[in-house]
Amino acid sequence: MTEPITEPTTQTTPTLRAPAFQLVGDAEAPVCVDGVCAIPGATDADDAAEGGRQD
Amino acid sequence: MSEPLTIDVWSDIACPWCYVGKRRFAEGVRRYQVAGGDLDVAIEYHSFELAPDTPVDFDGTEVDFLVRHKRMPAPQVEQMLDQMTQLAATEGLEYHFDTLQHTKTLKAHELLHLAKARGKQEEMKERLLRAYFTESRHVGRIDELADLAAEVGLDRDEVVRELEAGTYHDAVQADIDQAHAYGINGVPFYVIDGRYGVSGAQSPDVFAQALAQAAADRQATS
Repeated sequence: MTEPITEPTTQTTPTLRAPAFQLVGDAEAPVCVDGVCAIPGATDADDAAEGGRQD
Repeated sequence: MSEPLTIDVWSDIACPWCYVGKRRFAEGVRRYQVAGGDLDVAIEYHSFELAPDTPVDFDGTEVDFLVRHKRMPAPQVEQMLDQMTQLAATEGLEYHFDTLQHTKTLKAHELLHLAKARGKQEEMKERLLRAYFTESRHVGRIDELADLAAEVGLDRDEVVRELEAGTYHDAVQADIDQAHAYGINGVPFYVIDGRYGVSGAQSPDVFAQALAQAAADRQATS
């Protein structure tokens, strides 16, 4: 009798975790957003990028 | 022996603040330990694509990218990148935006997942950032990534095979989905021991304090 073929079970669907952490630190610390990495207090890149993408 | 503090970092390769943040976080860890912190830290990098619509072979400079895709005025971009270069230098980092090869970082993120599976993620992350910002290497092409991977001790043939197969594509997407679930829209972003979220390239003292607080929380609940 032939053994039944079973699918490999190595792939699992990740479970997304809801935010459970407390934000700490300087709220104005520099980050890169949507490909733009502005320097706080220097150039306001976000304002310049308000026009959105051309592509 | 106590379990290390877990540090989950969402970041991109094409992210000047992520490289700066990496240095500041490392200094934060040092200050935490100098101040008596006795827990080790276990860092895991998670994928985040800042500009997923970037073509692998983008034809142009970083200035061109920001002018064309973000509609920023060229003089403003040049000023911003000059300032970023100077700021990075104060952290001991060398940025060359004039020769940098802007590219899609999906395959680099897949490589970081492969490196994690082989216990080489930290070395790979550092190598990719230096290759991108300092050496103007192309971190979007598989052959170039494989060369860099071999430098940190990964099997070049395996890297080519796994990146061509897209083995870690779903893992990259899972990281990005998790970032969205967390509400993360900018990087670098740090989650310290699952308790504290720290956004941006903060000062080393902020990181040191967050580490100390997380360690204290551990003791309070143990």
